[in-house]
Amino acid sequence: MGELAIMSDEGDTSVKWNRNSPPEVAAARSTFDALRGKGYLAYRLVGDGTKGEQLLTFDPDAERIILSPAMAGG
Amino acid sequence: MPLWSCSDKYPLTSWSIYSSTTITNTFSLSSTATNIGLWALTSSATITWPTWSAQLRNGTFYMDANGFSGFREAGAPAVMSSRTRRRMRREQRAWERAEADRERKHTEARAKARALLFAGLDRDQIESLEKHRYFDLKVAGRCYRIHQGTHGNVRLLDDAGREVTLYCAQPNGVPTEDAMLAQKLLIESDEAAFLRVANARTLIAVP
Repeated sequence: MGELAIMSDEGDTSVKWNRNSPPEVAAARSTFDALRGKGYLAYRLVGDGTKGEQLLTFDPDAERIILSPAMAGG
Repeated sequence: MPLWSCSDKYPLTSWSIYSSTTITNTFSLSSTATNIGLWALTSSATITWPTWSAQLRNGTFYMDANGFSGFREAGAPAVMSSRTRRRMRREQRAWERAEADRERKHTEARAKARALLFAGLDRDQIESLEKHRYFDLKVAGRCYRIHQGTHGNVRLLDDAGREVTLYCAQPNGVPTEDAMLAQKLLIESDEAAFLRVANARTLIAVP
C-alpha cells in the first residue's frame, strides 16, 4: 500500500492506494497532480525514513508521500 | 428597580409596557419599526413621545429578531423577556457545543500532526524536541534549529552553537507540528528554495 499524507488544518488526511490496483493508483496520481498544481510540495522519506526528498512527479512505489502547502515567508 | 419590562405573552407586534408598579401604557410597533428601530414606536395613550425619548436616551433599549425585547434604565439591572432568556440560553448552548467541537478537532489535528512529524524525525531529534522543544537539522555542513512553532522558529547555528540567523517561512493553515515538518523537509531537500522564500533576520553578526 502507498499513502499520500496531505497536510491540512485538520492534520494530515490520507489517500491510500494499492500498487496492484490501477484505478487506485490513478486516483492517487490524480490527487497528487491536483495538489501539485495548487503549489503543494511533495516529499518522500528516504534513507532510514527520516530524510525528505522532493518529488516532482507521482511515485506509485513510494510508501508514503507527504504533501505540504507551499511555503511562504512570514 | 427596573422602570420598564415587557412580556412576550402578547402578540409580537404589540407589547404592554409596565412600570414597576402599574401598567402605564401600551405601545405598538409600526410596520416600519424593524427598519428604523425605536423611533418608529407609536404611542396611543398617556405617556408622550418626548417623555419616552428622554427616558430611552438614559437607558438601553433592546431589540431582537422579533422587535422590542426590553428596556433597561441606566444603572438598573437588565430585565429580559422569557423569550429572550430562552433564546440566549439556546445561543449559549450552541456556542458551547461549537467551542467544544472546535477544541476536539484542534486536539485531533495536533495529535495527527505530531505523529506525522515524529515519523519524519530520528531518535535524537525526537528526544530533543520532547526535552527542549526544538530539534537540530544538519544540512551540507550547516546546522539549523527548528523550534516548536510556526513563525520565526527556524534558526541557523554557528560553529559554537549560537543562533545567528532567524528564518521565517511556513506553510499556512496547518497545525504547528505539520509546519515544523514542512520546514524540515524543505530545508533538507532544497535548502536554497527555503532560503529564497524565508524572511531572514540576523541575531548575532558573524565577523
